Amino acid sequence: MKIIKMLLSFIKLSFKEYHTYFVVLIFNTLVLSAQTIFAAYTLSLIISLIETNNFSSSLNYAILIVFVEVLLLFLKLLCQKLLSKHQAIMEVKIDQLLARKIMELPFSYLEDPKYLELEKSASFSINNMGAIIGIFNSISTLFSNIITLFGLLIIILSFDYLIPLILFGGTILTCVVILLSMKFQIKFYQNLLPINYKYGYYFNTVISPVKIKELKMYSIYEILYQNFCVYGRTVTKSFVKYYIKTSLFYTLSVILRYIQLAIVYALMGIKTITEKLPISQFTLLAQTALSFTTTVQSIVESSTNFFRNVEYIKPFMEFMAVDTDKKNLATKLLQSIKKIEFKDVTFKYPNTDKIVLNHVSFILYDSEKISIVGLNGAGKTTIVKLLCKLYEPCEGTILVNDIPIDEYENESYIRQIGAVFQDYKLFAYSIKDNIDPTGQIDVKTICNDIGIGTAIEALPKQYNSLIGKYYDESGVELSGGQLQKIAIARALAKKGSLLILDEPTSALDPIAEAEIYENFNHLSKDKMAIYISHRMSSSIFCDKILVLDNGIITDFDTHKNLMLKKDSLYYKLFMTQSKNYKL
Amino acid sequence: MKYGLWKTFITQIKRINEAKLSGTYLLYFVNAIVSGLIPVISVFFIKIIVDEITISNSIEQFIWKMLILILLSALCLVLKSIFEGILAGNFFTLRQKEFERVIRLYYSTKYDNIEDSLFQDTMESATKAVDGDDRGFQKTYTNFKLILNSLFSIILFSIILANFHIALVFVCLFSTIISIIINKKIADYHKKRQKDLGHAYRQKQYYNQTTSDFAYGKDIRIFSLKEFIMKKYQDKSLSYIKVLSDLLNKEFKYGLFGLITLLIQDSVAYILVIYSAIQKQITLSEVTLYISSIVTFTTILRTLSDNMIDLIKNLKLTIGYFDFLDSTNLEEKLAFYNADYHEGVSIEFRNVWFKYPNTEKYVLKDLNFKINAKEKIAIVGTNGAGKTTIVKLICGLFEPTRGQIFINGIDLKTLDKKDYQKLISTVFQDYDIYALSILENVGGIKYDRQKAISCIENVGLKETIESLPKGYDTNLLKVIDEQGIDLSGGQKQKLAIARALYKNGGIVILDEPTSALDALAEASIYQQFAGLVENKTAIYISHRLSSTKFCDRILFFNQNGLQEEGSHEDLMNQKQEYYHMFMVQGKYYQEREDEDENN
Repeated sequence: MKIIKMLLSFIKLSFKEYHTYFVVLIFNTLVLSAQTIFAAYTLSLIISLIETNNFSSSLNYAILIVFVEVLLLFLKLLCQKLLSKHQAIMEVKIDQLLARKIMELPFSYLEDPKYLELEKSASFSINNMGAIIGIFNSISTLFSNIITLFGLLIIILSFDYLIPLILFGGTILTCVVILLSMKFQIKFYQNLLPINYKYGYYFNTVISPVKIKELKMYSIYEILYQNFCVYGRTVTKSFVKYYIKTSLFYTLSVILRYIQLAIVYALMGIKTITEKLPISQFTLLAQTALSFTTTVQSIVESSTNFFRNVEYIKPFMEFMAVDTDKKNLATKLLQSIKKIEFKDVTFKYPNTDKIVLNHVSFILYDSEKISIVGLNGAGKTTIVKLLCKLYEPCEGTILVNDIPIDEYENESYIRQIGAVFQDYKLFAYSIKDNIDPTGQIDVKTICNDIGIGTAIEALPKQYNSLIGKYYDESGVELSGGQLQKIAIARALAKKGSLLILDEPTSALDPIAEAEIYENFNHLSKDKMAIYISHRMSSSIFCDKILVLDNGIITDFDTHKNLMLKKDSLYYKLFMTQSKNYKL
Repeated sequence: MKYGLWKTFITQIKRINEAKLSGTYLLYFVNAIVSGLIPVISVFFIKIIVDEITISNSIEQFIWKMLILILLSALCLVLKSIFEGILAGNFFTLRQKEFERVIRLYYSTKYDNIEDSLFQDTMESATKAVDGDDRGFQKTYTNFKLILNSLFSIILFSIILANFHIALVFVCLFSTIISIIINKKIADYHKKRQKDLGHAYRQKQYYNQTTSDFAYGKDIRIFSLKEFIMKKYQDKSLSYIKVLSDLLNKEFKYGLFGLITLLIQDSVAYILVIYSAIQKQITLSEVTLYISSIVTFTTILRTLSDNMIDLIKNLKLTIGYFDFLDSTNLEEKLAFYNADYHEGVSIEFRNVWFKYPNTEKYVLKDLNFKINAKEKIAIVGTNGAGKTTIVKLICGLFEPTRGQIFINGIDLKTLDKKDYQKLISTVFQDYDIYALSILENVGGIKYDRQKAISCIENVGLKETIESLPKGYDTNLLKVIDEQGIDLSGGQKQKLAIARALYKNGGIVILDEPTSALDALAEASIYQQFAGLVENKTAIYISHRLSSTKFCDRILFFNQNGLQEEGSHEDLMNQKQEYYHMFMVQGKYYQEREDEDENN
């Protein structure tokens, strides 16, 4: 029942996305059924023509038969063409639906392994298994088979009542076999999915061009290779078993089919002989009965695909059912950030117990530059994520201009923040579009300001160069440092009133790093700015330093004052590094 | 050795034997007979029944004959489905074996290949032949099976039809040939547009992948890129659909030609049969036989031609794969390094030139330096100075394009790489942590538990790990074990260092080992490490300068190669580039100290 409900909601969803495909699909179904039913008629038509013994009228009819045949084939060809095209469109629509859904998820879900896993299996089945088209194809085959069955049944009913009864009984038995085989198949694919996933991990690891140099050095490779083979063989073995077992189900349905046929032929034969019926009628019935059982058989066969694909769209539907961002009903527009206040903020990541921020309170004022300093895992990046509304505090409030941030309308709020994260990402489209998607900003000036302008202008397509070769052969491969600068340019181009740099210079050498920092104060002049860096030297540029230790703010003061507190974490960190630079 | 269609096919057939699945040959043959018979029996079915009805009129005879026929075809179908079940399993097994072959090859090929984008591209297209059951390697076996089945039926049907009128056989063959030509034309057109289609598809797919990659989520949200990306996605999707439509339209037009030949074929056949029947040259039962035969014969001929074309397509794909297997050069077996692996060795670069495969630019030019046994060296330099390349050369992953590297005075070229690499404990910049247990991550296969634990203790992870419920046997990552643990960046790095310590090689290399660590953790790693590598030759690579004080000597590189060499004090006194870099990085620390002193 659950499966049917899911299937229905899938159909509803895709119908809403693109109706045309359904029209084509129905048309195709009708054509296919018409073809089968007509084919069952052909032989008896010809025989009845011969029975008239009139060559010239027979000839005309024969040509008519051929004509109808060819017409049906023509329609089938047309359907195939239309179907392929609209199928592709449907696939794209579903892909886009998924893409949009992912982009609308609350950010916290993206860091939750549960959703990560779900999304992975959803897009795996759509992209690698062709589940969307698979499901439509099998539904359409199923329907055309059912319509065909009805058509054939009507033909038979016009001659005899016993035969349909036998065929009906046979069909029910066949359905039982289908159900059994379906149960087996669903279970098989359910069991296979996690194994396949693990197998995929080992496979991707041992074939990774990045990892192989390390694996050549350490015997870890042997374990990974062993596991790869073990899982590979498990998958193979289960498939071998699967093939044999499904062939047994198939065999069972074949036997059923022939028992039906034997009874039907016997009945018809006896009737034809005793009642002296015309041969054309017998052949019609025989052909129809044959088609009937063939159609039932093909339902059995297509049900395999059907249930496999149903299994495949399950993760997709589950994913689509995930709640997206709560609609933010707040209407207050944020013009610029003048003050940020963390008031007693406590935070732990969903489904974890570790308190990452423990009653954190601090205030930042207009155009202040502050640096957040602390050991690994102290919660530095978490503060930034909370401020960007990527997560919500578990306790306490964050105020901007003395108003809680959830009272601001999202778009206007986020517009005020330019951020470069540790793991920033750029896109494979042009440099210009990367820096400024709105197309309204003078990208050139910003790039010149942070010292990447000349490098970009030296490229053949300048600001229109695509980043990376993935998207197009004409793309350019930039160095880590250059990419980081483009990411910084993107944050600056946003013209917000708050800038955040989370470990922005880790890919840069000391000289490039110093250059960025020295420029940055100038670039962020009237903006509020937050830096996170392991390099203590960067904090010297800042007005104040927020020292985090294990989720607690231990200090919030200027560099000068902090250096006076010789027992503070900051002093310790600073001295440890500065020791290396003693002359 | 070049592969042609025929040789590829034979090689694939031989693979069956190599995989100890020789029963497959027999199955092929028996299955062809059984499957080939099925359509023939069903064609005769109605004929025989009609004969019984019209001629003998005996119910008893009719029932017997019918039962025999039904039993016979049911038997054939049952056998066929069992045979095909076994065959499908065998084909799957064969493909899996190829997978293992590729993985082994990938591991044992010369490392040059791994970083050669040309090799990676070749491999990607070559392995397309084995990465799915619906194409290439595995599909060839299925095609072959279907071809054998059809051939057997075709022979039987040709005999039946020729018996009536040889013209029928020719008409059917003619229309099949036309359909083959049409299919070929379509395939050619496909090939012509394949590049456009592939290009449009890739562009569309980029958005698909990017949006479904959660790592992009933060930037998409912060920069409000949702609508912008959706718009680009839509644009690219439309251009993909456009190319696809072109292709389908062409295919449709060619298909219409096929209909015309079918029209001719069926008209000729029906008229011939009807004429002969009305002239009483054939009986009604023969009419049913011939009409059904023509329908079935045409279907089977089409199946055959489709499969032939598909077989050729799949073989062509497999040719690329076999060529790839044969042409990939493996790491050679050379002389073993006959000395203690755990002792430090001297390393000397003599006139070393190096460029990456398929690139023009030399990364290293005429590089000369010597590292003495058990010396601690820091290699420092700007981005792109070739520091990591030097590591790869020392590890024996690459060979110099020109010049030589000596290990304890032996030319590295003459040493067996697999054997030599036992000497090296390295943490690469892009080290990884695997979905195995913590101890396996450190000790690899057949690890020594005590030794692995003590290495973990040495890098300062003891408490963290012992606080986990499963302690040292905890699995890492959540891919394989749902209860697996994700370590933080710093912890991962420490674990990678423990792995290098466990290996206990004579050369220890840390490439940017502390970039993910905070200042305190970094300092403690260096301090601990200094004690642990006493008897080793140790090389630290960094663009930070903090490591340099622990080292005996510093090699300073920039884009132009090795610039300065000497102890920290020496280089500072020389006041060259190293001094400059040190001053830039240390500027603020020093200013502070001045102020502190003033206070």
